[in-house]
Amino acid sequence: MEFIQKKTADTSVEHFLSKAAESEIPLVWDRYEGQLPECGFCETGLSCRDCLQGPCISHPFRDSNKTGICGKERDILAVQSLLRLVLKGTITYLDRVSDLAKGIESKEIKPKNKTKTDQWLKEAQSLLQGDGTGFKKEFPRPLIRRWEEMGISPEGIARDLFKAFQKFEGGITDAEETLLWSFKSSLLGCIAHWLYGRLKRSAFGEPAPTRIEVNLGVLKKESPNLLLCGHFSPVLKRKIAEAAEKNGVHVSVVCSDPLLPPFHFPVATNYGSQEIPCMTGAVDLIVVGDQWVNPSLMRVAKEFEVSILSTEGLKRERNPGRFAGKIVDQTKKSFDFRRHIPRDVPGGTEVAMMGFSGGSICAKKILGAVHKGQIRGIVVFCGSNNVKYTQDQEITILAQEFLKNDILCIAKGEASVALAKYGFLNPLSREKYCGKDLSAVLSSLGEETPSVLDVGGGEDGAVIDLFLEMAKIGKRDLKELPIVACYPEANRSSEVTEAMWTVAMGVPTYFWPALPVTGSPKALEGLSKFCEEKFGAMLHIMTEKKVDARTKAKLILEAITGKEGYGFSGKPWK
Amino acid sequence: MRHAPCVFEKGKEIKMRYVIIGGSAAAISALETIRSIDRDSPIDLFSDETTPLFSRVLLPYYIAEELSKPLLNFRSADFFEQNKVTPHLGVRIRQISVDSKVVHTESGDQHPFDKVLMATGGNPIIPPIEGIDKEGISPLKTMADAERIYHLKGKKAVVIGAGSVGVESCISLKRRGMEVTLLEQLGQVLPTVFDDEAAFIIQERIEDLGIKTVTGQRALRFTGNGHVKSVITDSGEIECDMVVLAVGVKPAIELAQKAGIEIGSLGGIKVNGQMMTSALNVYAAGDVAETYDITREANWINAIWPCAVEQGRVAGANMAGRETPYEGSFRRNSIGNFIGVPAISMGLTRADTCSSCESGEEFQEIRKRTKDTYKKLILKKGRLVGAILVGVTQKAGLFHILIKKQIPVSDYVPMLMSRNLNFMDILPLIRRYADRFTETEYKEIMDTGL
Amino acid sequence: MVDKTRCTGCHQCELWCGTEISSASKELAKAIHEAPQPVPRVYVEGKQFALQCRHCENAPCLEACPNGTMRRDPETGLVYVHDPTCIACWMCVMACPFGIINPSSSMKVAIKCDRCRNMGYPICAEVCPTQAIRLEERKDYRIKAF
Repeated sequence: MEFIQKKTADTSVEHFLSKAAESEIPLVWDRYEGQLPECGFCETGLSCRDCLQGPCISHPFRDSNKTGICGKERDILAVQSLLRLVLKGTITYLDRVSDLAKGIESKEIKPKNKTKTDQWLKEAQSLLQGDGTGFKKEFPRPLIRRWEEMGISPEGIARDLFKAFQKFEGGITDAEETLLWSFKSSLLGCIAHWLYGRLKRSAFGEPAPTRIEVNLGVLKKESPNLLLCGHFSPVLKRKIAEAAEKNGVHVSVVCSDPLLPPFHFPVATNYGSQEIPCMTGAVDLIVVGDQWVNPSLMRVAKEFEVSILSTEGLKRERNPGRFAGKIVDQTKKSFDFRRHIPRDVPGGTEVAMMGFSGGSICAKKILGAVHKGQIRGIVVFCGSNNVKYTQDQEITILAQEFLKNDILCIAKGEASVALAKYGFLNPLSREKYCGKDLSAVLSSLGEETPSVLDVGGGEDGAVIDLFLEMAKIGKRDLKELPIVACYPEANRSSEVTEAMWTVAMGVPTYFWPALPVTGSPKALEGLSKFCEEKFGAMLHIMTEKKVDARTKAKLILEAITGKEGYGFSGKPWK
Repeated sequence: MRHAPCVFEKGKEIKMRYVIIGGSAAAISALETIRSIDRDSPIDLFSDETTPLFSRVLLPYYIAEELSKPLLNFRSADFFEQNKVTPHLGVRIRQISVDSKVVHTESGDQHPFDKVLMATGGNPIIPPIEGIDKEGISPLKTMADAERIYHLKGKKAVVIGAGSVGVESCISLKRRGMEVTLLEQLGQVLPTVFDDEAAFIIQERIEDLGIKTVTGQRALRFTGNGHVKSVITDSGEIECDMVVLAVGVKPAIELAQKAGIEIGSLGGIKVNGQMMTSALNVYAAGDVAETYDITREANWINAIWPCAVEQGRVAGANMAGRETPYEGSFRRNSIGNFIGVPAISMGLTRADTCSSCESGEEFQEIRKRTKDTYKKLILKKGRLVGAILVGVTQKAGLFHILIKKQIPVSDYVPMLMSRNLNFMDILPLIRRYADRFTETEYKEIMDTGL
Repeated sequence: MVDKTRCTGCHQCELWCGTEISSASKELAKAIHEAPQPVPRVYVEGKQFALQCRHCENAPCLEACPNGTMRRDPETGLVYVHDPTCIACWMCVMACPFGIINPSSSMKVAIKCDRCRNMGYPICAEVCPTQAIRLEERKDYRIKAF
């Protein structure tokens, strides 16, 4: 079985691993090893637990149990495994936009741009209650038409979510149709995500490239540290930031957007090592949402006498102002109570410029550079951490290989944080990592432009906006631009949904680890040949487990720069 | 309960002289068993075959050119050396002197013995048909027969007798490119192996291969001048230029008869529960022996390879001083993949073939026929005495153990007939009748962790 | 040994035996699509229990094989099928009281567990999530038990 030798590429995280082992604090890596071997049926998508006649599997090597009891055949089982993830992911995006809409409706904060906020709020409400077709004005016509022809254009929650869910309840369909339903719901998630970004930016203001510190060193030895973990309402977050500022409490984030104008937050670490900040002893209180939060935080926090407050409890404090006040108070008190606990904060943080989006990226300049051949292609890094890989190793090696080959790298969310820890978002390292031509282009965008451009905290839909911008300026279909998306360490269902809509928009996506569809040849064909036909882009799934990062980089480089007839030939195009 | 050494006399080990007549399944099995108990005593093996250690069962494969000679061997070339056995190949034994404990070879040599095993097998029945001595007509029993048939340059072959040897021969010849007709006296192919329904399926498959089958017809005479030209049957004439005789085997009991050893009512050498004949220290095993048949509850001759191996093992053990009872045999045949449809048959094929049955009520026949498969179980007094599986041969061994130990199964018939039958299903039965197993056997079955 | 109180019937042993031993590609995602379909040598059928070849001391399959294809390894005592000489006659299938020999018409040989004699440790025992399958030595009446 595959035992990962090295747990993380992050030395400050490594520092705490032996400590955890000695204190017998189980971390995500221990639990992963304990779970091995993982069920091969579920891994390949060949299982189903939708009803009580099961659980069923499709046994690849025996004929007696190839089909589920209700009749769901192997291919359906696999595609439904994917659909389940996509639907879960779509709901995460809907949840976020609904929280934000409610937060703004409550008028707890003064929106930056009132008209726009009202406009987007109306759109968001329309999506949540009706069929929210407002997006059709902003998305390129050819895309909309393509989706409508295939029947997958988003039509609102009732159709894209509820109806899609009924596939699990039964019905006569085939693998291709079920796959299309996955795309349909992912597009609903896409619209939700995009609306969230628009709404947030009109209410809180446009982010500008900001200097942010990352890694464990951001925790302060001498002041109270409040750690915000996971996603929760930006309105509450803003209130917390305001209260913290007034009270000298230092706020850091994990798995949460670091940019919330007018505030910005240092990032303690990323998803895979979220249990580690507690181990420094320097965290006095953690505020958690639901999404992205590991329940194991409870156990680790207890070891270090840290309380955890959830923003999503049934009986939570509803008033954000009051809640924020309580949180900050408790953090201060905690700091006093915890003085006896030694604080082992590794020194040194990395500097990251984050928040390039919209205007600051200047799609025009980039497309111009692509046209001139200075930039040979664009890779968008998405995804987070997955314990099946050495933390951050894949993405850093991939980034290195791409940058030195003059590929423009854009990153978002957790992927940005991962790269930031190693200096990829530090303008000073630009020369070190980037090829000459790329370096020149980046510096033309501004002195403080780093090697990799972060487009937002992953909650923003900024990547979608970027795609739309590029399509508009380039006056071309996305599928003809030399742009790919890459998930070196995907993990959550929201990332699966995101990958699906990225493919639906025409951007080829490279996804690791392999999605649970590998047990069905039809599903694999669906995500490759069929997607190629219909969207002009494939969802690339690699089933080999032990491929090293450089090989993956080579594969993607070849795809971007070498393929004939794909518009990716690297030659200047008109 | 391990190694019982050779005979002790006054505290001194005396070596036994073992003589084995025969060189096929029973002989080799006995030899190995003796050697596993008695490491030093001399063993002399006499076989009239010059080619040693080949499996007769596989001769049709040789004829079909699917197995070369070395692949017919069921033991390696250095087998005799490894086991410290002196082989006398191509040497026929003319006589056994029971009282003086000496065997005489044809060339006049004498070999003394303390224990002797007669594993002389069976001789092919040559039917008294007019013209049987023409050229181009051969039985298929010995290596010489196989080579003769292999080298016959015929184009049209007739195989007389649709037993296992006959069916396999005709398929082999067909694979060599000849036009083949299978002639069988009784109304179905494989009359001793399958019932009429199973035989019908198999006959269809044989015919699908392009072989013409004629059943219910006897061969009356052969025509031809010196070399066979045709076979005259009850209803017609079949043109041919070669004939394979596969009408059956008769136990090769000449030696026993000459020595005055008791012959059973079926023509085989009679043996007791330890495989010893009526003559002290003279044992018999294999196709030549008449043993107790579990499914028939009477003596029978089951001239089947695994039975011969089993009997050889028991005889060998007894010869080497470890008293081992023989539980009895029962017929079992497997056609494997040869015809294209796998088929296995054990025990009785029909309720009425048991000669000692009193009334029909004791028997139960349960059959299941689908498009391509056939399954039949025969129960006598609630115990399994026969199983026929065509096309559904997986787990056949489960029926084997139920038949061998005569475990009452009448409450379990639906389970036994099910396609999903597996070991766990019969485990409760084995547990309940644990007394029918020896301690070692039972432990080995339960050792799985159950 | 298979501990029936621990077996959950999850079929992982079958899955990985098929992948690591029987398939050509040795990778689950590829093995699934292989033809002929890989054949696992361990059986989880009907009840929650995994059944492999017992490598019996008096192996009936050894006796039944007419051409020496079924062999016992002199060092380990394990019974295995010597594929090249197997003629698919199914005599061994007929003999095995556990029914663990698979008469495979797709592979044209008899297929049986050989306790992973070419690997270090039996795969089924390695992957069993509850460690229901274990390799143990038994001293009472046989040398090594499964």
